Amino acid sequence: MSTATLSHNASHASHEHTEPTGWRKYLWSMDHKVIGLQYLFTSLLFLFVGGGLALLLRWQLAYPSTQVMANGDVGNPMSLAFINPQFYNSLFTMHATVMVFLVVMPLLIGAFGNYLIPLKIGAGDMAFPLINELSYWAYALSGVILMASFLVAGGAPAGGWTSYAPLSSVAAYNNTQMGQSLWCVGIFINGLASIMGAFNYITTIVNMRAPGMGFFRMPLGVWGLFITAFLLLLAVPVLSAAAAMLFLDLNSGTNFFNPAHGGQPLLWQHLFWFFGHPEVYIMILPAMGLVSDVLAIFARKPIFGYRAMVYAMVAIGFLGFIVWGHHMFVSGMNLVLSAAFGVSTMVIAVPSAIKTFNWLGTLWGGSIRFTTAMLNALAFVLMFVIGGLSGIFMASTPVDIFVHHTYFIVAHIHYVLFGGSIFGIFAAIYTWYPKMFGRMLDETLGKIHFAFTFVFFNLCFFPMHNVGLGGMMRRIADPTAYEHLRSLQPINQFITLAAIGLGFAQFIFLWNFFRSLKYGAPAGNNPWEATTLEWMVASPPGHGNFETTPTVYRGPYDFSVPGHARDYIMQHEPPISESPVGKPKRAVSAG
Amino acid sequence: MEILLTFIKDALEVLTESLWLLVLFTGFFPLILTSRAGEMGSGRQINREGVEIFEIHWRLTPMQSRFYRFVSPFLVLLFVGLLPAHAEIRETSVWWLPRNVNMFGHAIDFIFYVILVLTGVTFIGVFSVLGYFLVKYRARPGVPAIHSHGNNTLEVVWTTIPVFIFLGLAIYGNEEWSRMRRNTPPADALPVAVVGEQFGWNVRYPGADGKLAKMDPLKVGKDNPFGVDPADPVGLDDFTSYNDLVFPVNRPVRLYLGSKDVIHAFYVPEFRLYQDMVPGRVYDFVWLKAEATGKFQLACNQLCGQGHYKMFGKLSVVPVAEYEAWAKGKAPAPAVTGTSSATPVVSNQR
Amino acid sequence: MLVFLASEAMLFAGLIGGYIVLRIAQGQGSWPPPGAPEIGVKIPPTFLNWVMITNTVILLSSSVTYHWGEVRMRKGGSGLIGYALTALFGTIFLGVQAWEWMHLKHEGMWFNTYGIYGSCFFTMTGFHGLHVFLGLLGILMTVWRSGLRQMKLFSGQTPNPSHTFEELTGYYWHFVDVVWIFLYSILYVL
Ligand code: HEA
Ligand code: HEA
Ligand code: CUA
Ligand SMILES: [Cu+2]
Repeated sequence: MSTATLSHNASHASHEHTEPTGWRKYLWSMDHKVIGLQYLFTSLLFLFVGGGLALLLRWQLAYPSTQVMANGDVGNPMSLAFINPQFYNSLFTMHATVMVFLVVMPLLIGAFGNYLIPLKIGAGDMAFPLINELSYWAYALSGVILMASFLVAGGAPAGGWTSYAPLSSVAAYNNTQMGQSLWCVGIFINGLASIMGAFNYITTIVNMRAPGMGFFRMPLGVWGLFITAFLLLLAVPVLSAAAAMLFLDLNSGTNFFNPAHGGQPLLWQHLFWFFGHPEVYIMILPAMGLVSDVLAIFARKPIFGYRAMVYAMVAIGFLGFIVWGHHMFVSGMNLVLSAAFGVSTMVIAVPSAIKTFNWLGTLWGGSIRFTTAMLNALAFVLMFVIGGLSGIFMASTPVDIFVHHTYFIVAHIHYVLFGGSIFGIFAAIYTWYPKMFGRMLDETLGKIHFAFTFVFFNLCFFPMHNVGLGGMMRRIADPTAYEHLRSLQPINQFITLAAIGLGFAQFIFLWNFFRSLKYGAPAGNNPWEATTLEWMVASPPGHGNFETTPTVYRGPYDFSVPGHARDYIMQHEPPISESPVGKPKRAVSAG
Repeated sequence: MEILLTFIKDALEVLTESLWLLVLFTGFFPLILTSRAGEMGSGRQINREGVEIFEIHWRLTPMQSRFYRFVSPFLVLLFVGLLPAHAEIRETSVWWLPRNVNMFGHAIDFIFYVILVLTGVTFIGVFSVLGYFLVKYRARPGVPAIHSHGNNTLEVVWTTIPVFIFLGLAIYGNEEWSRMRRNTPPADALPVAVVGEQFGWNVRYPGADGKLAKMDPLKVGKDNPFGVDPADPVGLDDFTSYNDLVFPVNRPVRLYLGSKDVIHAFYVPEFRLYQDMVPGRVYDFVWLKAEATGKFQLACNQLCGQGHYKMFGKLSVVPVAEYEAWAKGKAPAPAVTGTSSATPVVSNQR
Repeated sequence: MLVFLASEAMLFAGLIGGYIVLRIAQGQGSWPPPGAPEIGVKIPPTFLNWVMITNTVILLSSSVTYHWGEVRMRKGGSGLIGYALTALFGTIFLGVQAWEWMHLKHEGMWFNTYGIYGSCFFTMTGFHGLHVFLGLLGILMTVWRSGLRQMKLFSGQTPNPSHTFEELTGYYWHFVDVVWIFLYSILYVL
């Protein structure tokens, strides 16, 4: 690995490598912007794959096909016969795997991390362009491997995205040895991609900030990605180790997780959640950061409590490593430990509270522009609060005894992951699309898309709280098999309808996205009148980003400074008193 | 084609059933219309530096602001308020917590409601403040934004208050948690062993001596789901059942939970009870006391393979006399069916 | 590089943590499982013990030789001998490791035997071996580079002044050694 890095770096330094053109650009280019776009397109594709799987599984829940009648007819005329219980299990397993590892992470970290970090800190590219490129291809490869699991004998893995052993680790129990093994391989390679990316981001942010760009002058979007990179670096290898052990259990006869031969099933859970909990913050922190930027831009105000926001993110990142046990309250791990994890989980809600209140503070006294990006960012705040608050129920150990593994959890997942991360992603796409493609997205279509998505999202996922409290378990292929769930069926059908609506709403987005590539109004350098460095260069920025390295004179959010004609001052604009060539003073805080 | 028609019919049915949805939709179209209105005047403009830029009208039209003011605070409340009108009623209400019959359920429900009130208040607070700000601070010509970097006093306040709330919740929750899970069950509790397997429930009851044979997870095997020693005299009068549990009312029941193969979970919503059953060990700390009679369903609530979705058992709570009659009618089971040595559970061993 | 090593450290932390959990769960007396070949250090040491102790010493001295090479290089030399010795020691280590694997396999111990005893041993040493192998590739590269350097020195030219590659490889190599110390202590000694 070191070999590759170094030799590339040497060549990078010695000659400005010529940029490949045409289709070859998308194979060989090591420009962080091209890689960012590759991530963007690939993961949007997977969004539709993951969403398609979700719609299939929703259909099965509304019109189950497992009740085969005496004459061999499937009970419900509406049911899709090919969804048998095993396939249903594969559906939600792959739905979650795709959404988590192939959609949300690559979108936030791969696409926006790559595209925005160098631009926002005033760097020409990432520290290790070759590693960056490798990271994308590793990600793409992991996607192919995971998709291939649908085709192998036994079908796709069916143990849930959490792959609890020994169901996942003993072929005789899960009937999907090949699929489950491919899952391990895919996750391992995906992990390599994440680690390479994280390594790159940290080095880039530490070493390649433009002069004057102190840590406390970085936009919160960069902070979010920076902290996320540390989480990735420390959490992902643990999952890789676990996946390797699972793979060996499945294929080489090791017994790490097999209690029949001295293994420990709970070990898998500890390893998985040691990764898994930081993982959920990996999926929300970059969104939090980017949304903070969006809120500031469209409220025309500096972020309220910038430093508090940074410290809150650091606290979330740090505490995120000591709460994993809240997924295992009722797994039978040490009961005192459960209690301790309950306390730490409550504590981690505090920094989220700080962030929420500071977002409100940012809106206070603003001059709010209701662009589509802003609407999505506002939806992010609201939906994250709903999802976070439902997390409080589960963090309370006694209540978790009741709600664990019910649709209440499913509601939580989707409020934080769709309502949080995906709305955050939409906000980011609507904001930075002009920078990426030099054209504006259509606002009307965007607002229609937003409105449909917002309404259908809530119609789809809010009732899940209720069915969960009513006692409906997650991961069951046919709720009507249970007497006590039968009367919930109308709600389940309703949820499915809303999910279909939600799915179709995304076509508006797709249409807008691709149409605007060609027909969108030209964007100009700084269509949103924003302050950070990426808006000073052309849209899309040229190879190397900045003609000369910019010098940074101020914090990232100098909006509406009194006594200034314009309501924004960009980071590279020198203070009037100081001469433009004067050396910037030591970085001072924005707060 | 037929499927499509049925779907449309069904969809319409569900839609009309959910009147509240229509209410929402009527609130929803103004949003689209007004957002269009707000966007109409887009065009090219010259900015102050003389650069041609693309300008969008940011402002909320009066129509829009009325919409936000009126509809948004109610949007989510609508769900909560109108769902019951939609849901069918069963013995225990569906759309909300089912009936509780377990002694410990009261505490769980109580904490649940405490958190519901806390989070509810927080949520309504955040929602209203946000809604208010959106309307009050919408962009208006000639009204600049306030330039403010924050306020440290506020920062301290809104950090400390949640800290106290959350710590309070955690301490209170832990107290109940120890009461339910960490205190030893009463000595007179009826011991019942439940061992999950793909895909059903082995149940073992004590005979006249009121005691169960000792379970050793290492002995659990294909023919010996409970891992008992066939020579154990205590076990000779035990009897077993499959997918069928009967609890006496008002008497503590102590569960011995285990699993033969993969992880299963013991879940009965009306008991507010969930416990994973990880193979390789026996859980002896779960106990309960049913306070009312009735018929319930024991569900496996941990993904355990193909048949997971229909791994359920009958669970009835009956008067003590009835329970005793039922137990009398059961023949003692041979401690171990088949061989007595532990057959290893499946593995990938080759 | 440090960042990257932190990540690698977490990989091993996962494995080692898992091992400790499994091992504690085993309880007294069943470790190593009856009948399994003895790998733990005994007094007096067995033949296998001697081999592995020597092997450990060899791996550790390879770090010393590497450092020596670096010192020579910084002083303007080529460091060829130091690097070459490192490569040699690394190769010996891997060779002995492979021999030990075959030996144990011969004795009936493999990934899938003796419960988790075999599983842990082979997985952990295997992962480490893989890292040593990758490190060795880097070492071979440094040997090659120092060879070039030496030739330039012979012909009176100034060699390439960049030492970054040697530095990074060094970090990695020392890291792999440190990991081995941990593995050796928990797998063989404790
Ligand atoms: C982006 C992803 C994300 C995020 C951010 C969170 C955030 C939180 N999560 Fe969640 N969680 C998941 C994704 C996420 N989670 C997923 C995917 C699972 C399921 C995995 C699986 O099993 O498949 C899960 C499961 C899960 C469980 C396990 C449940 C179970 O299986 O039984 C628990 C239990 O404690 C939990 C708790 C929390 C808490 C306390 C937070 C907190 O961080 C939330 C903090 C936020 C707020 C509290 C709101 C804002 C604050 C205020 C407005 C302040 C004032 C509030 C009060 C005074 C109350 N989560
Ligand atoms: C980022 C994460 C993310 C996202 C965005 C989603 C999005 C959705 N999820 Fe997902 N979900 C998870 C993460 C996510 N989910 C996780 C982690 C689990 C736990 C899994 C487990 O238990 O192991 C889960 C589980 C889960 C369940 C529970 C399954 C069960 O336990 O039995 C359900 C059920 O309704 C569900 C539904 C949905 C729906 C309707 C959407 C919708 O938002 C999707 C909307 C649709 C689109 C955005 C795409 C639209 C595309 C089309 C319309 C095109 C159709 C195309 C083709 C057919 C190719 N999800
Ligand atoms: Cu047993 Cu699910
Ligand atoms: Cu968590």
